[in-house]
Parts: sequence; C-alpha cells; structure tokens
Amino acid sequence: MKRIAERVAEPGAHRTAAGSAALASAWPVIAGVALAWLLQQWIAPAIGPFYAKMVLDIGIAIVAASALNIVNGFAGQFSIGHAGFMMVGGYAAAWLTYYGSIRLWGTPGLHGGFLGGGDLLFLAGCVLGGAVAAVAGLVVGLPSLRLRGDYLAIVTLGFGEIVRVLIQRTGDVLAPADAAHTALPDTLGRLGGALGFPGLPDYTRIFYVYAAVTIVVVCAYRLKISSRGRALLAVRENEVAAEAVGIHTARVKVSAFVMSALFAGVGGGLFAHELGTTLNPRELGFQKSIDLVIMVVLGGMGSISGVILAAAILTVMPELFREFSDYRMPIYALALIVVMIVRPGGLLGVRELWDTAWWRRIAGNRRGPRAIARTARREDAP
Amino acid sequence: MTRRTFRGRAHGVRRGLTGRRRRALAALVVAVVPALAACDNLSPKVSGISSHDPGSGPIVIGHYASITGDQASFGASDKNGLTLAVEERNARGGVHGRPIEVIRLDDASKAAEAGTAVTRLITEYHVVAVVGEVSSGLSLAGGAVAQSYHVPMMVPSSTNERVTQIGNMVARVCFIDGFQGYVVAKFAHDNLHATRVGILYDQQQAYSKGLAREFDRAFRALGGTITTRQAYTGGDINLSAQLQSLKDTNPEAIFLPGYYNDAGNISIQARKIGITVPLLGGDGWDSEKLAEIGGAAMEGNYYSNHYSFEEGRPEVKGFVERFQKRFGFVPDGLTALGYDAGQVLFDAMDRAKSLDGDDLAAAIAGTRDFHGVTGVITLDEHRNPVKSAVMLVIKNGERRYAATIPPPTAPLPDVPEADDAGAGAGPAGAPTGSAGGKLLQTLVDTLALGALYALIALGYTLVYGVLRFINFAHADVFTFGAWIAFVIARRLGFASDPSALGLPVILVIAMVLCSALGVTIERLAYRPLRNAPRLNVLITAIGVSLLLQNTGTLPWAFGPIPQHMPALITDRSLATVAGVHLRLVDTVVLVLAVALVVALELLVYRTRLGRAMRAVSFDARVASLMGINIGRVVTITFAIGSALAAAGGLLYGLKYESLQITSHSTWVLLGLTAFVAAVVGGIGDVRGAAVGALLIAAVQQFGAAYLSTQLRDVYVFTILIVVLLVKPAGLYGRPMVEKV
Repeated sequence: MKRIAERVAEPGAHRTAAGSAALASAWPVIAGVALAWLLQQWIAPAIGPFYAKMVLDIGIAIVAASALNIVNGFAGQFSIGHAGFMMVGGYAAAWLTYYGSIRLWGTPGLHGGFLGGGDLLFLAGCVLGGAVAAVAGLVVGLPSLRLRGDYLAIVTLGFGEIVRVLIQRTGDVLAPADAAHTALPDTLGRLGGALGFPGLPDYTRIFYVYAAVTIVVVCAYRLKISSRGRALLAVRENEVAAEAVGIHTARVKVSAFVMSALFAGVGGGLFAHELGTTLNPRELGFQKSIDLVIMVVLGGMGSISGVILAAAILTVMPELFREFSDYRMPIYALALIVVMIVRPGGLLGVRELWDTAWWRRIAGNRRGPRAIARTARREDAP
Repeated sequence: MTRRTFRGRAHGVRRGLTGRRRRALAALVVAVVPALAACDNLSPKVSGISSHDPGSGPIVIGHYASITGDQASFGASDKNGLTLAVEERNARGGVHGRPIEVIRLDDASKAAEAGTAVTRLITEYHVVAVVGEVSSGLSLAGGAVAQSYHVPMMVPSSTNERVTQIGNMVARVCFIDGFQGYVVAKFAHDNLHATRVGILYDQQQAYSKGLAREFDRAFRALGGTITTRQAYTGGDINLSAQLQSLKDTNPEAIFLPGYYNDAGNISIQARKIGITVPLLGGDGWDSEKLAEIGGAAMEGNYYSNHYSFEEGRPEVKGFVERFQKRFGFVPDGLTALGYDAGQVLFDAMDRAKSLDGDDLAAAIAGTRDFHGVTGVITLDEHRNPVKSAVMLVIKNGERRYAATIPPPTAPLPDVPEADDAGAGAGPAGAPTGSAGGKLLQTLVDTLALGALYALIALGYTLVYGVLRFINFAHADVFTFGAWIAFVIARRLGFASDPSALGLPVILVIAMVLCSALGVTIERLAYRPLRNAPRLNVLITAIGVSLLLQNTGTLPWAFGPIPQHMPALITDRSLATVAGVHLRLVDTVVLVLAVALVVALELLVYRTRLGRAMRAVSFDARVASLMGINIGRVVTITFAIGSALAAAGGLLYGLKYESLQITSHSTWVLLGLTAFVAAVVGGIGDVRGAAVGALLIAAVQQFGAAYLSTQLRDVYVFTILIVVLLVKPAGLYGRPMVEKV
C-alpha cells in the first residue's frame, strides 16, 4: 500500500522508467506469440490434425474461461450467461467475414494465405466481435452491477436467453449472389436462425488462437497486479469495505465486466470460424455458460494459471471419457459442490500455479515472483 | 488507493530485463521475425489427409452418433440399423472379400463434439467413410470436416436441405424437408380434402422451422390456405395462447412439425381446448413413445415417415423380420435409414474404382435405383434421394400405415414466400371466436399458470428470506416432485383407474419425499457453507441443480425418456362461459395452490414458528441470541419450501400431463420464470411472491395472446431488468441497508 502511495505521489518517477517498463511488459506478449507460432508451425503438424484440433479447442476454452475469470474470479461477481457474449461476438465476427468476403472478393470462401486479406478480415471480425460484446456487456452490466451480486447471475442468464431467442428469429443467410447486391444494413438480420450460420470460412488457426490467448492472459495478469485489479479483489472480498476506502465499486465492476465481455466476444469470433464447429444459438447456450463457470471454479476463482489448467483438462476430458458421458455432468456437478465446500476459492484459489507449495518443492524453494498470493482471501469474513 | 489505472505498473513487477534474458529475447526476435515474414506459403490448416486404406484387412468406416444427450433415442435407432447392415454384409463375406469394421464415437448430441468426433475418426482411425447423423445441426458440423478432408460421409436421416450443400463428399439416403413438406401437404390436400390448415412450429428447432416453411409453400401451391402460423419454443409448457389462436381460425387440420415429445404434449393441450381436427407431423414424430406420451390425444393424427413396417414390399418384410430376430422389437424409421445408409455405402464400395475419398464419393453419388428398405433410392445431382414417402396414422396407440406419397411428377407452381416477420404475431385468418372468449380464456390460463409459478416462487422467497441466497436447485426439487408423483402413481396403480383417493395420497407422499430431499440438500451442501461468501453458496446451488438434473436422467433414476403423467382425476368441464370451459383440473390446481399459499401466509404471520422465521430473516444473530435455534428454523424452511415445490410439481403433471426429462430446458425455464416472479414481487416476501407470480403469468399469457408468442421469454426478462432498475427491492420488498 505504501509503495503505491509513494509512486502516486511522484508520478514523474515512474514516467522516466516507462521505456524500460514498456519493454518489460512486451516480452510476455512476444514470447506468447512466438509460442503460438511454434505450436502452429512445428507442434501441430507433428501431432496430427486431431490433436491439433484439441490444442485449438483448448486455446478457445482458455480465452473464454479467462474472460469469465476476470468478472467471476477477480471481481467476485457472478455471470452465468457468458456464452451469450461469445454468441454476440461470434455472430458479429461471422457477419463481417461472410458478408465482407462477398463484398471484397465475391465469394465467402477462404481468401489469401497466412496473414493475407482473408485472415486480416477475420481478425477484424474478431475485433468487431469483441467490441460488440463489450457494448452488450456495458448494457447488461450497468443496471445489474449497481445491485447485489446475485442479481447479476439472473440478469446474465436472462441476457443469454434473450440473445438466443433473438438470433433464432433471424432470417436465412443470403447466398453469395444475393448478398453481393444487398445493402449491408439489410444483411444484419440474415444470420441463419436456429440452424446456425452456414458457409463460414474456417480461418481460425492455432496461431491466431494462441495469440489471442497471449493477449487475454497478459491483460488478465497485468490487470490482476495493477491497482485496478487490486480494487477488484477488494470489491470481491468486501464490497462495503472497498467502498469505504474510496473505491468506486460500481465503476470498477462495470469496467471489469465490459473487459470480460470483450474477451468472450473475441473467443466467440474464434469459435465461429473453427473447422468442425457450427455457429448456432444452441451451441453457445446455457450449457456452455455453465461449462465456463465450472472451468473457472475448478481452476480457482482469480487464478489465471489455474483457469488455464482447468480449461485444458476439461476440454480434453470428454475425449478420454467418451464412453462414460452419461456420468460426465453428474461428476462435474459433484466436483463443483465438493470443491466449494472443501476449497471455497476453487482448487488454486486466487494463487497462481507457481505460488503453490508443490510447485515450489519441484522448482526449488524460490518464492513466486508475484506476491499477490499473500493476499489470499479470508474465508471467515463476518 | 486513490488513483486507479489500467496500466499494470504496480509494485512487484520487475522493471526491465536482466542482461541474459534480454539477449535471449533478442535472439528470439531475430529468429521469429524473418520466419513470420516467410510464412505466407504456410501450409493450409487442413493438409491433404485423405483416407489411408491399407488395401487389405478390414475396411474401417466411422460412425458418429448421439449415444448420449438429449437425442440419445435417435442415436440408438441409428446405431441398431447400421449394426444390422454391417453384420449382414460381413456374413456375406464383406466388401471385396474384406470385413467391414465400424468405429463408433459418441457426440453427446452436441455439434461441436460432432465436429471433433469426425476429425478423430478421419485423422486418427483413418476411416474410408463416415456415417452420421440424425439431427441436421450435427450433420452440418460433421459434414464440414468430412468435406475438408475429402472423406465421403453418408447421412442417414438429416432432412435439412443445407446438409448436402456442404459439398460433393456428403450424400444422404433420407428425403429432404422440401419433399417432406410436400408429402404432408399433398396428403392433407388429397386424402384429407383439407383446404384450410394452421401451422404451429418450434422456432428454436431449425428442423421444425424449415419443415413448416416447406409445408406452407407446398400447401399454398396446391391451392390450399394457411390460416395462421404460430410458433412456440421447445420447452414452453403452456401453449394455450397459440392453440387458441389456431382454433379461432377454424382450420381443417393443423401441421405440427417438431419432435415426438413436443407433439405429444401439444396434442394433449389441443384436445383440451377443443381442437378436434387431425394434427399432422413429420418424421420427427416417429417414436414408439409418441402414442404413449400423447395418450388418447394422439389418436387419428398423421405423420410422414421414411417407411412403415406394414408396407408390403419384400425389402421391408425381410428387413423387419431379420431385425426382429436380431433385436427383438420392430424397427422404426431412423433404424431403417441407418440400415439403408450402410447398404448404399457398401453398394458404392462394390462399384467404386478404389476406396479413395474421391472415387468412393463418386460411386455413392452414382447410386441409381437401389432397392432399399426406405424405398427405391436414386441420388440426384445434389446427392439427395428421389423416392416416395409414407404417411402413418395413430390408431389404438399403434402407428399404422395410411398412404404412400410418390415424388411430384412436375414441379409445383411457385408461390410467394410467406411473410416470415408476421408469423406468430397473432391470427392471420379471420378469427371466429369472440374477443371476450379469448380474453376470458387468457385470464383462466393466467390464473392457473400464476398459481404454479407462485408455488415455486414461494420456495425461492422462503429460503432467500431466511438465508439470503438464491437456491438455484429449488426448480429441480419441483421437477423431482413431478417425477416422484409420476413414479408413485405408476407404482400404486392409480395410473389405470383414477379415484378420488389417488390425488391426496400422491400429493402427501410427494410432499414428504421432496421435503426430505430439500432438507438433505441443505444439510449436505448448504450447511457447511453457512458462513462462506455468498458467491460460494450460489455456485454450490448451481452444482446441486446440475447434479439433480443430470442424475434424474440416468437410466436407474427417472430415465432419459419423457413420460406421460397418468390422469389422477377425470377431467371434465365444470361450466362454460362465452365458449370457454372452466375445467376440473384447472379448478383443482387453482384451489389447491391458493389454499397452500394462504396456509403459508398464516404459518409465517400467525404462529410461533413463523415469528421465529421472520426473526431469523430480520437478523439471524440477534435471533440466535434470543434463543431461536437457527439450524432448526432453516431445516423447517427448506422442508416447507420443498413440499410446496412438490405440490407444484404434481399440479404441473396434472395440468400438462407430459413430463420432459429432468435436464430438459422446460424445467430450467420454468424455475427461472418463477424466480423472476419472486424477484419482481420482492424476494423474501410471501405476498410478493404470489403477486409477482400472477403478474409474470399475466405478462406471458397476454403477451403471447395479443402480441407475439415468440417473445414471451423476452418479456419476462425485460420486466426483470426494468424492475431491477426502478425498484430493486421488488414490488413488496423493503430496500435493505447493508451494515458493516
């Protein structure tokens, strides 16, 4: 606390260090992007398309679950309609790539090679998806986040349902020949309805997914160790006390919620353009929202590495246990209850993987660099 | 902490890099940047993996099916059909002297998993061809994968047009929705001599929506009139607004494309409000459960199907005989299609130049005059079969053959597309019922539905009042109440003869059992978290809810199949006002619900126990200091709430008769709506819950009757958000100041 106060008191002091700080904050992004490229170039061909698809699915799950972690883990607010934001983002991105491709190149098929025109359009679609989802997040968050936490759960759930119903009501996607001479605003209501958005080009590649993972994870991490993140954690621990120390609780909650919706929207855009998925309202419904909640809770509410781990494990699990899928949901549900009772903060709690005892035992007795774990939540709040 | 920024410049971050790390980073950048620049010719995501048929040993084909999930019954039919085809073929020496081997993966009825399963079949098991799926959404996901890897996919029974439009690798053996719509329209027009038909479709199911549109087009092209187009959402329990609108337009038949579980439910409701004309359906109706769920209401209804086991063709006779010998029961349409999918595939393998993807796909596309069980199959240029369909009729609870409809000889005249936007926005034809009758009917429905919502909402409100958390699992206790009542009714034999004794006995048993369930949940899941943050309790509640939902569908619990609640009282009309019947069941539901609400009100405000509950609700710590045993109060609260839910569940069963499986969205939506009612009324307040329930029911029923049936859930949640904005504590609630 004191160190923050000191730094705030002399803003010039940290401005001089901005250059090296920028470099310092850039290296995780560069490393992540390099890793993404490595995964796509060497690892994916070596493990074969099926495992490559698993890697891809894990990446998308990480993006979506980490997004939820920001609002669910950091801010302690409870969203059970996050798939709704994925849906909004996915449809926005799909709309742009499909109708945009037709406008630009006359066909909705794949266009250009790596980082070619088609890829850039797809990336723009993901950004648009994130932006639209963020706006949706603002609309949903503003009224409900002013209230007690439980209401957010209900309102987000309702939001997911409303989005689903509205998308189901949209008309058929226009065929390329018709779409070419239809004004863009008129294509807005042409999203395929209940059967989903057909004919989307499969632009999603491991590189893009893991680049997105990098951005989301780095953002989440920077947020977690920033003063805004601390404010979120404070709100989560005790809203009244947080307000008492001068945190504008409604504002930090809403901004976290919007950021979370944004990343979920990007995840939706990636999901929409993956080979072997169809973008339809049913796929991104309540069940998907619950899957994301399970990832966050099992991984540890507020633990970035924990959520990544849980997202990976829970994505691979169905493949390992295809025969027992009858029992999959009961087991998840039971795990959820037991974890809540035995480890109320999720498996890792707010700690990161490298803050855990067994990690330190493996990695020697080096103390984790981020001391945030020290602020592990108190469970016995009155 | 006065200044907050998003820039992550907080303490603990190392500033700058150490020398060694900086050098490593530089090396990395040097290595990556040119490589990235040279990436333009990066291999496409899908490399040219085709089937790697080794040329000897078994021929491996893949099958992805819904073995679990909400379409598990389709998956089972599909699987049996294909299994028989493979066994017979192998008994005859296989293909080219090589046995056929099937790798089967479950896609859990989910599109994303279907895509993954097909990827795995093709790239891990190197199958030469893929067979699947039933639901079009799943086939679309799997088909895209098969197409991109150039492996042929044989679709047994997805009828949506778009499936084979994926590309040349995808072919199917079932007819498409366009044809099926024509078949039903032709049958209605020629055989039933109907000229005015109404449509009621599920807006959530692409299958239902597509079929409705095709029927609409074909029927108008044949010269008929569509009186009205009504929509519902799969899981809506109360369709009286839509059915009333249909009835008002006096149709000679009603087309009801959808799946069998909905069809049963809807026929029951349709017969109740006095619709007597035949209901028509598509192949989604084909299930041995159809007549059971719908009961007597299903009699005299027709649906189109791929085959009937009563057809006289030799292929059908032989197939039915062999199938019965192997599995012991009569195969349904999906089974026959699964069988034909296998047969057509093997026939193509016989003819193909090689088993390579492109050769095999060409051979499949070249299928001509293949005598399958489901008809003589000739694939057209879009790889869709041209063949005839049959119409079946429900007679004495059996599915009997009614007619065969051949493909149209000449294309139908074009008719303008129906105005989709207007669909469901009220009756399109001339209403014949009186406006007063409609109003009265809507009012009666509102009261009955409101009473049900109130019984659930009270449970939410009681628990919230005492413990201040949302018991998400409450709706599932309600679900269990309905199912427990069903099981007891079957066990005690009330199913066969309705007696005056049945209802009270079952009511009491169900209430006691659900109380026990509620108390157990509280003891095991919630009590350990008494002092935990509210979020934890909320997540636990969701966990309990998921646990109940998903164990309820297990075979040893209530099972994965929707059931029909036996009639515990004989329903009859007590009085008729303005053409609206006041029915016995509605009256019982209403009277019982009001009685329970009044009893609860008296309990909370007139007894010692009620005073204790209110004291705990007001301030648990002080209450405990005053000598109130909080644990006991909480237990009793859960017992009462769960008992009310059980009563609600039983009344639901009485009124709506068909019970969806416990994980079905009906229950989730019902619980959610009741919860919204509790919040709107002011959660924690008994009167508020009752008033909120009536209000929400009124919004739903009047909105559906007079505005649009498609948006009824949107109304509910809009009301919720408005109330939260304007009066966050609800209509009756008092704003609470949180103290430190």
